Amino acid sequence: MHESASRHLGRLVTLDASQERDFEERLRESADLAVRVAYGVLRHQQDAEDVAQEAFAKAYGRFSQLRDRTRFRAWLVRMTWRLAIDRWRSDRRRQAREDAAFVPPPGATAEDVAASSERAARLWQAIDALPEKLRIVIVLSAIHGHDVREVARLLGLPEGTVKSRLFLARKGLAQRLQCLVPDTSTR
Amino acid sequence: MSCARYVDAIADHACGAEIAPDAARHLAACDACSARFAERRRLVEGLDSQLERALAVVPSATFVRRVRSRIEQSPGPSARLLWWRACGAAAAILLVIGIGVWRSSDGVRPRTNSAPPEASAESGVPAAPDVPPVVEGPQGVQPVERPVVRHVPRGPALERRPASMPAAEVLVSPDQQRAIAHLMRLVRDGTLDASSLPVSRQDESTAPAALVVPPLTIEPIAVPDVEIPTGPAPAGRNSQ
Repeated sequence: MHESASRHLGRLVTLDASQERDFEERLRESADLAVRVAYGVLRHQQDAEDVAQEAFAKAYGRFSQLRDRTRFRAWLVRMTWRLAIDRWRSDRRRQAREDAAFVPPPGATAEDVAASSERAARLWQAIDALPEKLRIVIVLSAIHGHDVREVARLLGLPEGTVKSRLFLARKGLAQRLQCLVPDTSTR
Repeated sequence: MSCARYVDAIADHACGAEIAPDAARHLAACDACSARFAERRRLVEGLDSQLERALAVVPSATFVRRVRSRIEQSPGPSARLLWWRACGAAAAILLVIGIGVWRSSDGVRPRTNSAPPEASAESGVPAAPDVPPVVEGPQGVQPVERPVVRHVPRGPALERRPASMPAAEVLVSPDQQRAIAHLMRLVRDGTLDASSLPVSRQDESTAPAALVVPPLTIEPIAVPDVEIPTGPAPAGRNSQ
């Protein structure tokens, strides 16, 4: 943390110098994860970063209470997810954001962009229709290529539970998105 | 016919579920089921890869800096925690001060084992009578915590105060002042023996008043003799 922040925060929080360095390191290594988790709910880059910043600010305030620092990422993921869900529920403009959420790959034609945008919209609709327990599992498994063990560690769940929920989520998505089979088969 | 039996198991297997040995054998032997499984598998893998691509967002270059500024701006729960801790510490300090004031004004404090019993004799006041120890169960005799009355020297001891020592400032009413002055006069004149005064604090405040109150004399009330006439009642009362 830079000097002005440390000087200002010295009156508010009780992090010492080593804790400040520790938090700084974890902030840099977990920024991607927090933003992506929030983006999985909000599908808006600016909103996702805003929620991730709020999660980091909360994590900073409680960092000294975290005994096992190796669980910081799991702690952060759950906090970010909860904040993002709260934001998503209170956001009335979500539908408009979904249209702008998909970024087409470079060099794609207008037809490709339209088809990809439609597929993305359907995918997000199908994900939104999933129960929250299944939703967070499928989102986390799609971030950084997390396997079942890593998702279980982040959520504090048994691996068997995560595997079961991942299967149910994929099954629900596949049933809702049967129409995408020709598109995916041509990729 | 057997394909319909295994279609759900094969579809679930494409989504990641385990497959039973007989369904696996059928999947390996049946071309139609293998094609359906491959199609379903492509769908699931396509959804996974599409979701992974959609979530591959990268935080902006100013993300870390904005997190810092956000931490600076928001007091956060730690500030509240510090505030509550400060309130708790202040309350504890006030409690300790209050207990100290109460104990000092009450004048009763428990005797410690290290205090010698001769301490009260040094002040010229006889020590409190010993209390028999209490036997608690088969362990034996336990020492009894006994309050020690802190006595204030009176009578001749008041005159031992050096002149350089300022007089104690005591808030008393004018009546109490007069009673105290009268008591000191009696002691100084030798009319009253200071050792005969009671030693407890409660008696200390009532003894002077008892000295200045004159004995109550009850004078007999003179009641005049009344003569009660005897004879028949007036005639007018029975006529009604």
